[in-house]
Amino acid sequence: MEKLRRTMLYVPGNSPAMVKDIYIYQPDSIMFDLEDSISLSEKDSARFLVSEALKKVDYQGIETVVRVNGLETEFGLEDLEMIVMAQPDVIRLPKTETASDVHEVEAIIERIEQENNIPIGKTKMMAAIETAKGVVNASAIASSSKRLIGIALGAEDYVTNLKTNRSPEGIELLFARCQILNAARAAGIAALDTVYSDVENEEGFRKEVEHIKQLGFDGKSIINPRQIDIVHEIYAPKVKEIEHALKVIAAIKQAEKDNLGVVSLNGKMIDKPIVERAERVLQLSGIYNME
Amino acid sequence: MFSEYKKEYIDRYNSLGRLQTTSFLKSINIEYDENIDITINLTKNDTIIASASAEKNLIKCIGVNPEFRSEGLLNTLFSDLVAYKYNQEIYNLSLFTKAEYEKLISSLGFYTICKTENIVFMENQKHKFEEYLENLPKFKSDGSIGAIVMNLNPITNGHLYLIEKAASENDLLYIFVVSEDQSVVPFETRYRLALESTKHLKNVVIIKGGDYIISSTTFPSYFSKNYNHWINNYCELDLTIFSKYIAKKLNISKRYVGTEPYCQLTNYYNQKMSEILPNYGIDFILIERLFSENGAISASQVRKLADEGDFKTLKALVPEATYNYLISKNGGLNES
Amino acid sequence: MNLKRRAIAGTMESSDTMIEIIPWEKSLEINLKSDVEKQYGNQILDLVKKVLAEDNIENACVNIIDKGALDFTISARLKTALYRASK
Repeated sequence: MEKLRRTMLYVPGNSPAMVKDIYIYQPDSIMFDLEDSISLSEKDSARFLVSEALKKVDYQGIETVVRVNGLETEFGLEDLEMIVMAQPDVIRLPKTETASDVHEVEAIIERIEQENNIPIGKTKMMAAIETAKGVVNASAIASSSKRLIGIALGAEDYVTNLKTNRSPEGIELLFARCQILNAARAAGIAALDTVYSDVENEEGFRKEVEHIKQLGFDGKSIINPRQIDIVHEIYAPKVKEIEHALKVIAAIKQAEKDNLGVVSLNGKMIDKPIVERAERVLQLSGIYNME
Repeated sequence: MFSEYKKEYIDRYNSLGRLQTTSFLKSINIEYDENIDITINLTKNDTIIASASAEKNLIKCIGVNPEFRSEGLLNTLFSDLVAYKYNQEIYNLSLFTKAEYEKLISSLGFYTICKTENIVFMENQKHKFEEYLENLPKFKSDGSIGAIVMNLNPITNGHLYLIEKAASENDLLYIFVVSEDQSVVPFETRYRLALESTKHLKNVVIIKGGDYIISSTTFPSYFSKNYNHWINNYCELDLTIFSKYIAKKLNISKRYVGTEPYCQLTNYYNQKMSEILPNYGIDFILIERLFSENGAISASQVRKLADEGDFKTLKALVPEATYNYLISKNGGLNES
Repeated sequence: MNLKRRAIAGTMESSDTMIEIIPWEKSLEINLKSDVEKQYGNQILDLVKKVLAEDNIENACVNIIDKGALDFTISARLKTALYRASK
């Protein structure tokens, strides 16, 4: 079953209070940031803090992601050297534009795993697409590596690149969203939407979440814990959906028992996409136990 | 990211930032100081809610909006100031604050050097003051030990007269040269000229004042709008440090000053001295200034003559070392 | 590790620790100022000594202002200060 990634909560990597308590909010993933939210003079500090936290704090099974600095900066390589050893679940690359951007980082991660007796391939990756070029190459990026578990849209830099600005309705992001989502699905990986920075505007946030959910996104990057519940609520299936999903799964199980090849429910054939959708509904509603 | 506060750094060239800071500080009854070289502000919704500044190694103008007093904002500001100054290789930070804030500032890594009823002087190095006192040259003496605190900007015959008189009345005489470098003549030069000009006096010891002989230019003006209150606080603090710690360490029993015909602040300071010193068993001795035909000899007068190139008149007013120094500056003092 | 200069890391914010390292000729001296000195003072000192020993640091003055930091934070800030001091 695929991992739920409805909410990826950003944590500035240099803040001990936030780093230690963050799991309380129960997002699907936690993203420790070493990049944009950290000032130049504190990049080293954040790196050490996140590294020590990953080694010593129990994040209760929540997926840990670290956004490192780009390799073109003076911090990127050192970030990787230290962070990979601390074994987060995922390393997130900022500003990815081509498949070779991913390969470059992957090679370094692999080397570090090898040198340190970490199972090769254990460290997963995620790529953030923040430029027009990246959007154009979304497909190549999404299929560039077995380690890549998802791609995300970074809207702030993207709209600047497009020479426009963000609007409430977000029409300027439509193409990028669709492109990224499509590329992710074609490659079988997750698609995450960008952050919504106006924390006070709950109405606007809800609209955006409804929108991206309808488009098909797995979830969204979150910058304030208050946003988590809203996203989880919107992604929660309706009761009817759950009931139907339970019926689908029950039918499948019955068919397995009876050794039937083809399964039908209410006169309709249940094929693989229908089963997958039912499983996803149950997963989203928190009903994991299929037995 | 979740933080509701933004941080801003304002250097001396950011006049808008300084103006906004001035306005914020005014709203909580603190006056901004033009000599500040860095201000760090925390803002919420584009409004300043807390501010801290520094001029070189002196922290000044600290203030927090009363609504936000319990939020540990000073912890953030002080951490930033320390880090900022560390980058400039300034490690020793000190500050003056109201006595009621001693505990608060102490929780931010500062140690009390001296406390009076109203004001406390603190710094963030635990042993620096102790080491300063330890390193003062101590001498054994059966007779009396005297002291004079002087700017010597530069040393004149007027100063020399005072020194010679005091030296003749004591077994040993300490001359503390004020380290404050806002004087026209740089500190190292003032110190060197003092050494050379007093070579002939065997019982005179010239000491660099260091950070603990506080001059009136260091002492912040924002403690009170009332000049008299301010003077009171400054004098009390400075004289307490001197009497309670320095004089005690060196067994100084007499402090000398020259009469002050020109400067009101100095006069007032001398008066406070006459009140405070006896509390610590130190005699306060006022000596009449040396007069030339042009009135009392003063350093400012000497600097003026040098500026004007009148070295003929100058020669009679200063010791040889000073004269040579002023001449070597090619007929004028460089404002450094 | 070769300490070349003095350095500082961390902040005095709640849950954090500010650590200063000053290389000197004398033997190791650790000065701790902590909000939770009574309960955790020894634990903090032990942790600090352990990290310093890992890098063979013997001649330094370490000043710590602790505001209730957990072990991982103290470790991180100390390692950051050592890193900055050795650059």
